[in-house]
Amino acid sequence: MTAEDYNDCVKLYADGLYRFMLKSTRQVEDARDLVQSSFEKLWEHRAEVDVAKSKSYLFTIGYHKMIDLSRKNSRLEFRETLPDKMADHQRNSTRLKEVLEKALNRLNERQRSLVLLKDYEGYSYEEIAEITGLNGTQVKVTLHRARIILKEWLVSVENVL
Amino acid sequence: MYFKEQAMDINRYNYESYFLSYLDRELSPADRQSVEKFISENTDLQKEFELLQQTIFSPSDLVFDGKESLLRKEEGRKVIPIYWMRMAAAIAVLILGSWFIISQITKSQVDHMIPVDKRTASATAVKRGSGTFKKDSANKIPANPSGGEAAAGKKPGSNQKATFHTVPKNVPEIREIQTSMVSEEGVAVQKSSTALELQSGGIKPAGDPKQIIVMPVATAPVLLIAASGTKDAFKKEKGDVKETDFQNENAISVIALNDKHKAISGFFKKLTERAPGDDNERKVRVSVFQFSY
Repeated sequence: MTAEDYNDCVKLYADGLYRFMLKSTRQVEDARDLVQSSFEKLWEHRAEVDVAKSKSYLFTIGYHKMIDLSRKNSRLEFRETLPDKMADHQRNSTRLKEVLEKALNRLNERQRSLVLLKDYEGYSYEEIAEITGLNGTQVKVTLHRARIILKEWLVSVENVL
Repeated sequence: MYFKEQAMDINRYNYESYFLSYLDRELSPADRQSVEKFISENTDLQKEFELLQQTIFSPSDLVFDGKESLLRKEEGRKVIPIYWMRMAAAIAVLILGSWFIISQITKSQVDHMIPVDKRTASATAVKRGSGTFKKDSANKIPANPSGGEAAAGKKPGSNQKATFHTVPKNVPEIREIQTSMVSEEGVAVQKSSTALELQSGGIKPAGDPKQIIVMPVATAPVLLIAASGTKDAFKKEKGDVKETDFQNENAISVIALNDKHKAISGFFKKLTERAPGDDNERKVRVSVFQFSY
């Protein structure tokens, strides 16, 4: 991967990686730091990275950095209230989205990451398996459980409303 | 590549997994059609399908502000040539430094060799270019081997000290010579050493090595050492010859004559060089030659 390829990665994937990090950590600064450190690592290892796999490589780095940070800092317990900046971004979102965002907090770390990788980035089970180090069946089962938890949350909210 | 559902066809017991795989876009077109058909045939499950559909997050419009801070420029390409140039310069400095140190050490070692024997040195001085003996008035020997052969019939004098012939011009004056004899004619000679001391003045460096034929008055074959004056061979300092550089092989010509004044031809190799001397004294060089014929 050349410097030019790397800069293309920044332009193409920085937003997606940031979204993934922000949804995962719910901390703007942490998300920015994780994006920055992920791109730093990509730059350091650019000579070994195949351009075709650069996005997957980037998200793999990001995912593991996020997990490390999560394990290191217990403060990564997810807040019920969104940061102001996130709230701003979602001011125009529908009520369903708001409910779903909250539902995301009910998932464990692995479930949440897989849902985000699947829905935001459109990765296949196989690609998610590569990024997370899980196998395909684990990815599928984890994702299905996460969807069911989300569905139950939606049903419970609807019942309250 | 689709993630295959392992179970049998979709039914009311396994539909949830099919629904979720459908929503995750992990089913083949055929399986997707099966799911769609199943939903249309089982309307009571449509609500559940819609609920699961609502768990799918739509892409966000969040962006990373300040992407420019992540952009990089390739700096390595500019650095690499400078790095190699620095390496090359460092290697050049090391080589030059090593050469200088080695040359200094070699010079120092040469300067610490045996001093000249003054008594011997005074005994056999010969005037340059005279073609005659100073101490011994006997024979004249031509400078070249053929000339040596021409003079071979003449007997050397009875003096057992070395006899010198400085035949050609542009030859340094020789004050003293020590000769060590070597071998029988026709037998390979191992070595011999000779000390030369050069008198001051009279050196006219010539372009080509010149021969000085030195022959002891002896009956045995002898190795004769001579030096010539070339620009490289001598250094002048304040008009006096201070040193003779025998390191220049081209500046040395050696002729060995046997007792019949016949030149011994062969290959000669200088083994050692000069002896040190007090700065106030003339420099003397001792050369040891190895030769065979």
